[in-house]
Amino acid sequence: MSSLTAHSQGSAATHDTLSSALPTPAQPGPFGHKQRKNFFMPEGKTEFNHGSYGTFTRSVQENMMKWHNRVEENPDRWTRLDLKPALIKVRTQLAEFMNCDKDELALVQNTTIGVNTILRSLDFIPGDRILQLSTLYDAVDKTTRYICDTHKDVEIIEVPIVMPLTDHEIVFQVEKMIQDHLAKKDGSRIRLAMIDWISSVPAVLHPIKALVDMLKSYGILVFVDAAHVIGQVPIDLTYLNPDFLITNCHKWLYSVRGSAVLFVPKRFQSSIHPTSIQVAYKTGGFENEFSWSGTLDYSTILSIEGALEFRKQYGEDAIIHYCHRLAVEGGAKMAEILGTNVLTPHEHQVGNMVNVRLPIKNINDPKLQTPDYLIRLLLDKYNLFTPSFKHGGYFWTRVSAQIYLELSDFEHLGRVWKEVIDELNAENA
Amino acid sequence: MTKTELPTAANPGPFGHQQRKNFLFPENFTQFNHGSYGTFPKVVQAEIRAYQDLTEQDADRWNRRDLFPVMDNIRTQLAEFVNCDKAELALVTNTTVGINTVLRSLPFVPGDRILVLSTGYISVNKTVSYICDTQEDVKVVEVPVTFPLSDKDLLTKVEDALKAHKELRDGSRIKLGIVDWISSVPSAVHPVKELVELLHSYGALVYVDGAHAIGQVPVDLGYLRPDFFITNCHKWLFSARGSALLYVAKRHQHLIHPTAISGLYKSGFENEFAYAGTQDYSSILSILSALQFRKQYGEDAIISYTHSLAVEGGKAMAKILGTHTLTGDNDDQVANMVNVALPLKDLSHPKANTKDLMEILMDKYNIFTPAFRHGEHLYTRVSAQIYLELDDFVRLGNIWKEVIDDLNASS
Repeated sequence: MSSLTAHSQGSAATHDTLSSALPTPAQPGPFGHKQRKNFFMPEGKTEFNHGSYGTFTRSVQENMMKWHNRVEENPDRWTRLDLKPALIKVRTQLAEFMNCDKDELALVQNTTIGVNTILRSLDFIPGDRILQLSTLYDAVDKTTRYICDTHKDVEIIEVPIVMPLTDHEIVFQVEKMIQDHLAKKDGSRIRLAMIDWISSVPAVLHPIKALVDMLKSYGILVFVDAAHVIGQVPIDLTYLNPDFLITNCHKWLYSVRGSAVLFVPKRFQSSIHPTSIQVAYKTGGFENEFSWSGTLDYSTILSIEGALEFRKQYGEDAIIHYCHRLAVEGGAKMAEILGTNVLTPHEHQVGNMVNVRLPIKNINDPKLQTPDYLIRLLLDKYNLFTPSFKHGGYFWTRVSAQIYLELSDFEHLGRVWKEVIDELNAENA
Repeated sequence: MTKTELPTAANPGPFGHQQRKNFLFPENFTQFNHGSYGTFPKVVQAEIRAYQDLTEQDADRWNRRDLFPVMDNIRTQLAEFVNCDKAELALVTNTTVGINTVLRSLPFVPGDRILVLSTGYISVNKTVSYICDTQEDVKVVEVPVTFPLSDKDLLTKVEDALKAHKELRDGSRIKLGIVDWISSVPSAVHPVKELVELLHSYGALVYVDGAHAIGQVPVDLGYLRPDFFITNCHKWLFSARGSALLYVAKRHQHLIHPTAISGLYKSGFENEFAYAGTQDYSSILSILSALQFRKQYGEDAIISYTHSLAVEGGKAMAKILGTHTLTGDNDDQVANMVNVALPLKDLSHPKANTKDLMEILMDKYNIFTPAFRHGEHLYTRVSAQIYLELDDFVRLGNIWKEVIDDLNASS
């Protein structure tokens, strides 16, 4: 890492000398466009939507192929003898990364599987209520609805969340919903809360510790959907102490798609079973039940090793600091170009993803009611993509900062969106 | 091609050791256990890499748009391959996912019974056990099956179990029967058409566990007409691991949801199963190049050769060992896998188990075939494949003879 001139931010008295030496958009250090060659980006294509599907480095792909090829050398020796220790090694590395016990971790393919694993294992009884926020990820919402469809008298209590809200307001609104429910005294009970740590659309970094503590104080089980968390913000499970947590390594950690990690504290393990029951059911215990998901390609999960190795070169602090600052400054720059604003009032509500308002005059424009028009336009005409969505009566687009991006990329994106919106507005004039 | 022109163990044609170069085997390694985890040719691996590289160039373009027509094309090709309507097919990761998909979706009620055979795959029977544990008064009816057993006798056993249950008159009903097309350990081709008809005649739904079927035997779902069917493409079809095909008859589709509920919940079977969340789909996509690889030779040729090799190879091994094959003269019960009895004198020998025998085979001989107890004997299951020849089976027979002779000497 090149040496950086220390900046002090004036009124930000909490900045220590370490954080001022970390890469920023003004001083990218090892990051920015020079990182492109470490990834698979074709010339002329810039990835602004890392948040949806993630991407991985060439070195991670090599690591994955190493595992992939090892299987073919001797599939029986690999599957019967070598796979489980390899998975344990990954769990050990992740346990250190997330400050928890490796035996409380299970490697699964993605968050949707992790969510279904817990929700479809818990024995919901009539009168149970599941609390969730309206900004919950679509597939997770569908899963809680599935639970309600397949259980008698289990219902969802949804807390409407419309940004902009401060951390305090978010916690307050959730707590108010709980208290209103308690006041009803109808015999039902809030059994479980599904809470995003960083929501997807809109992307908001929630006050997760305050939420977890508050929910637990009411005796509610807390399942933290941290799909976007690992690699985007520091994660300390001992400090946070949720009841369940799922996070995708293939989003912000740079492993290959199909690699996620589920946290299940020991006190719950006897009742949690995989979405696909396997040979170890009732005889093997939690670790064994989750060490084998049948025949599939485990090299995506094992690529977590390659991802951690890549990141170690720079350090988590450097990566997180650069991406966060870029998201904040890039978002501000785009908002300036578009003449709008960003969704989140406070910088600490942004991880690496920022939501910028689109100055669309007609919010009911038929072209915008399904995603297809914009997907086609952005990909085919401009060869880029950022998802757009309605929230709180406005249209926004979500942009993902990454180590392979620079501030100039955000400027370019702002100009592209301005052109797109100006045209749409002109058509509606 | 007439039958006389198809490759056999005696006349391998394009098959045998010359096929090794198409696969990824190291020099000194011979794969005798294709049945457990399958393997795939180099061209299939190259296709996987190509798809992965394609995806990384533009993840949004791929995951939001271009992935779906390719997945659709796979279902179209497989629908033709297995003779059914494409709308009745879903691509899933493996058989256990397919089994769990159906079993954890079906609305069992108290008094429902699930019929299985004792030779059913262990993860399947464990899933049934889970259903019984988590649903009120749902129980398993297990039909004990011990080979050697003719097709006729097997059908009689199952019918006897159905009759015996009926006679209970305790208000319970056999809701679902799960039957193997080709069982795993021991490996035997079952009279699956007759089993489906038998179970249907008693009012039961039928789930055919065809994990080993596609690529090993011809699959015709239009003829078989099960309620549910699952098969692994990564076993005998040569696609990459993590690619399986689930069939759900239209009349049941409204009940069936994926093991991981997706964003398209309640928007129809095809939509619900079209996208399983963020994962690497290249294993499933590799089905295309697997089918292409096989087209060079034709299904008939491949199946003829591997079956002939399993039969002849099994005989050769049994001769060397002085034993027999599990299915004896019933060559119809052998597809590509044959179970050869091992002449171990003392079945209670401490090393007479899968794990210890595996270590001996791997460490000393660098080969592996699973060994297991069935009935009164210890057997080993051998998988014939297009990259093997008869003399491989002879070598394997001699290795096992040495291993067993050693064990017999040490008891």
